[in-house]
Amino acid sequence: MSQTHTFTGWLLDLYLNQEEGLSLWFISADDDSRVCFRQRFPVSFYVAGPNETLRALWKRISGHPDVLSLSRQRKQDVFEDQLVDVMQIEMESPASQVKLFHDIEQIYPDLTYYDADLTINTRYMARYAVFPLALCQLEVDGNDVIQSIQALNDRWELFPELPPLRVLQVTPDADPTRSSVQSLLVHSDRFELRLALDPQGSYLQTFDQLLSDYNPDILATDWGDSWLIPFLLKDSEAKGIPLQLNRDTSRPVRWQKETSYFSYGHIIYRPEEAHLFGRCHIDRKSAMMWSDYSLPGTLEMARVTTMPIEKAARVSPGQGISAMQVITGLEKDVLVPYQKRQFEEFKTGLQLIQSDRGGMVYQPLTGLHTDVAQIDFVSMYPAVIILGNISPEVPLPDGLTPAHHDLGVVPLTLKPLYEKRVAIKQKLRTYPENHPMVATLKERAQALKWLLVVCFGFLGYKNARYGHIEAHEAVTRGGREVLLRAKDVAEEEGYEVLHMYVDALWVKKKDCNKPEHFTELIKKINHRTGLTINLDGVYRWVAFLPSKVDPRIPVANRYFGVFQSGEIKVRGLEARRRDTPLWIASVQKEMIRLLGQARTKNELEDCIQEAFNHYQQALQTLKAGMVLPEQLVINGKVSYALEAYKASTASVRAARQMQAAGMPVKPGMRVRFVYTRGEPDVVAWDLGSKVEPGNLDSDKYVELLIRAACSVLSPFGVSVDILREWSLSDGLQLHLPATFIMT
Amino acid sequence: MGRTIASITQTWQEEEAALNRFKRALRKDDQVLLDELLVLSRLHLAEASYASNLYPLDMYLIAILLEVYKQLKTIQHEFYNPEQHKDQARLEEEEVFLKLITNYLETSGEQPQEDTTEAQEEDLPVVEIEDERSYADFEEAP
Repeated sequence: MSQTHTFTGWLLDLYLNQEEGLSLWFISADDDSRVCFRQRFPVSFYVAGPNETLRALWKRISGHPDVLSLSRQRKQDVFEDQLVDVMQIEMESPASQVKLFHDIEQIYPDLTYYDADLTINTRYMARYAVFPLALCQLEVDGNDVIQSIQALNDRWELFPELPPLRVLQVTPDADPTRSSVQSLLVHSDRFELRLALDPQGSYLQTFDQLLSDYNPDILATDWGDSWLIPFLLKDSEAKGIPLQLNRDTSRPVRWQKETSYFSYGHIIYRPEEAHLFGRCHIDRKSAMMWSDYSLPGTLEMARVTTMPIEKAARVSPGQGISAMQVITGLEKDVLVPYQKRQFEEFKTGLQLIQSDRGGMVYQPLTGLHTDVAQIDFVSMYPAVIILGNISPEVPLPDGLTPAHHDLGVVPLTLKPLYEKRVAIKQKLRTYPENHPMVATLKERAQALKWLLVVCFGFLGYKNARYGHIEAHEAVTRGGREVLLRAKDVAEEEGYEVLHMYVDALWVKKKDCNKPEHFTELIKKINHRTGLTINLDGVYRWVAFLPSKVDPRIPVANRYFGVFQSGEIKVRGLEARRRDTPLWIASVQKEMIRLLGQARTKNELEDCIQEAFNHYQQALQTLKAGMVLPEQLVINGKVSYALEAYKASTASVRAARQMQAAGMPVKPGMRVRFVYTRGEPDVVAWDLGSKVEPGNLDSDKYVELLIRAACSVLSPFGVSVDILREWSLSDGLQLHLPATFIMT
Repeated sequence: MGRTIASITQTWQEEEAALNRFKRALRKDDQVLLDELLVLSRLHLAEASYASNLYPLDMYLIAILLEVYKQLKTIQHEFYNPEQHKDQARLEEEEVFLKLITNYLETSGEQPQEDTTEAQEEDLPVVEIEDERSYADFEEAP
């Protein structure tokens, strides 16, 4: 064997390699070079079933060239009390394992398969505790084949040593779905330049040279999946100018098919994805959570879930938590079933009525309230899962008291995640707001928050490997119990409970208007529930809004208010909705900002006037046709195939225009449009046709503005009917009672 | 796995729908009162959900009783302690709004116009407005 040497570096990318097993790309900790090593990686999967069928399978595959060994083992199935007899099939490489498994599954569909469909990252993590961006020490032979590897840090480190990543950002100078792109803006920490898309293709040569010289680890694009990379590759081929996007030059770009899927009540569309080898491509426009947690959050997600960075950027956090649960199972040396075999237990009608319940959602006391404290449980459902040891394979708790000592797979997965998030949040409190670490830590905490949030949802997801509806119900049951205990404590302490929403309470008490006034209450709730509850803040004032349909009915999640810090909190209003036109949202936000300037109840009156004045000015601007059409674009959505629609909504009419123009429309896609006068009454924005401000249907937008303004003004006594009557009239003909004018 | 049991709001809507025939037969004034009673029951949906009663209507009736009793107690309290409630009188919605308009017009340099309709009517011929601007309710929530 050739001589080995030691290498220290961060793992960047890992993928299957037909010859040796795996290819692994590292960033050297010594000289900043990017190095590719290979590694043999035999893997095993397991099969259980009747002896005669297993014997037949044994005979069939025993001579297979890629089968290294066959043996009988006794292993733990996560859902069984006793060990089970299984046949272990050890394969030469992950690629051969996938192939053999699919072959034998066709022939023996009734056998039970374990560890059969695990991703390569999951297997690698489980075996070597190595994950994306882990700092590793390797022994490598003269042929660049890894002989041994160990991680020098773990997934739960708060401040891990991270590699100096080279990020190249590439952005078209215009939205390619609307207009023709003239140039690409290329940006890195070292340079910034504009590449004009010249017909000769010299920009391709320059870009290729840039990739070669700068050698980025991450290619961060806008519309990279849907437009940029397909365009570059096509142009490169047409002009015969080579362009090497991959670091691994032996590979072409890998395309992952487009897909539409249903998630949390919405149809989500994911376009085709361009994946690179040896470096990562992140299309910020199709990175699902980019706006929430950006690159630091994405890297945190990749580290803790062990998913490849490209995948962590694009997929929902649910896939991440699923991968983590599999790793926990493998680390516990339990078998991971290929197909779920847990079914919902039989329940009587009454049991079903009692168990099929969500979180506690109260009806708030509508109107304006001052000096209100909002207290939130820290990651309540994950905390309930951990506290109650709620996992599909262990007995479920009655209330919050665990029925089993050893933590199950789900709480075992969540515990370090929960603790890491709490630790980051605590660290954040020690930094001033302008500290350079604050933004990064917030984004990392946000990524962890999403993982914790979806973990509860996945417990109730029938296709999740560790999904079990009874466990899901046990979590909501625990949540309700916790919230009611908190309410009991608050009322015992003399607080008025204005509202409760799943994991948060809004309380007030005479003369309590400073954070320290609520410390004792928080301590008592912590003690009574066993969970951590924090003061989110004390509102100067908060307004709980009623239903738009019936103002007598309170709505749980429609409120806005201003904390003592001046921070404004808005939930359920138009400004928070994705489909609200930017301009309408900005008017509403400004009205709330103006109201937020009031420090006392007396100041509020002046601020209401200012907010109202702002509305009036906005109304006049809108009526005068002075708002740009792009500011009035409505961001609609089609949830089904267009043929399935019986009623033609505005979104559907716009989508049909796009389809007629040859643009593909898939369920879950966003459809942007503007309302116009006459026929057609909507124009799909992405058609690219110019819409003059005069052609906009101002009546529709005035109505949207009225509704947005009324959401803000209604707690102060302005009803939508009066506001509409005034706004639709020319303003000065309102019948003003003489008595009022006299005052 | 989705929900098997209807949510508490759905059961409330079912119960409301079940009263439709009863409501239709009521006099108009009573229909309005019934509507108001039903609104009162909606104020305790969370509690009704937590109760998980086989017959949710029981919970809605108790919620109505509770709210009516609360109103009764409030009125009693106001009746016996009239001084305490003096400051609670609030401006009517229209007055609040008119005040905002007046202030706005004053600050923007325009003068609020008094209602001169009656005076004008004597001097000017009555003109029928043919195309009164009306706003059909918004087609859908965008």
